[in-house]
Amino acid sequence: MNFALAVHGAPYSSQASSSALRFARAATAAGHQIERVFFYHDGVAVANESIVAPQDELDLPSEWTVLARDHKFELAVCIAASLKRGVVNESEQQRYETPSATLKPGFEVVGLGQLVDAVINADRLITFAA
Amino acid sequence: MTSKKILFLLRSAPYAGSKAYETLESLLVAAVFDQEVSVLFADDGVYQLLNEQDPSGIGTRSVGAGLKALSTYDVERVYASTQSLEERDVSITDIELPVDTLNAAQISTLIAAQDAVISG
Repeated sequence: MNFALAVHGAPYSSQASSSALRFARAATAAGHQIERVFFYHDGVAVANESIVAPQDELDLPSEWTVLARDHKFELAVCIAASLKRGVVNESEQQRYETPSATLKPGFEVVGLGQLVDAVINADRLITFAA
Repeated sequence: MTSKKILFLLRSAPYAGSKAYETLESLLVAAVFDQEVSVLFADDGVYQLLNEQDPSGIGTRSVGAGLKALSTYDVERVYASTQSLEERDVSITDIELPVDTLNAAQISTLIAAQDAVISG
């Protein structure tokens, strides 16, 4: 089966990102595909490159990028939701003249159309709410 | 483009953070993509329907004003939970939009008919 995932909660504040990561691992291990993971609302915070995970806790941003690379799916971050939460890629950093780009490599800043596109192409949408 | 039945399940109060407005934005994008969009207001989401919202004092955009765009985007399947309305004493006459009210059984039928549910 081909799954689209939506993640609405911030890492460490909510269980959403951790649960979604574990779901994605289990799904890919069982031979399923991930169409795209779409981070929305506070979920976009996981794409912040400046996150330093505690040593004895799951490094969620890195775990996501490793899994996505190994299984070739996109980690999509909503642009409107991410800008106001301080997650900016290089082009947005230049456009808004913020001090630095903060998007972790491996995540892509996209429009909301990519959420709809994922729903259209996937067999199921699984939402991990905050 | 493939058209899917997508239900937007709006459960957040309009000014409890950005969730209500952000979910409305995704709803409008789905409508632009010519999907078969339905909308259900439930739980605290029914507060989004109240008339005369004026959030200018808290520096945020009006969810009520945004919802008025629904008809412009040809979103005509708009529902609200009877139980949620009653629990919060929101009456149908307080409401800006033409909505159909659904009981729990009707909500189950609506959700079962969808390809996807996007909640927020």
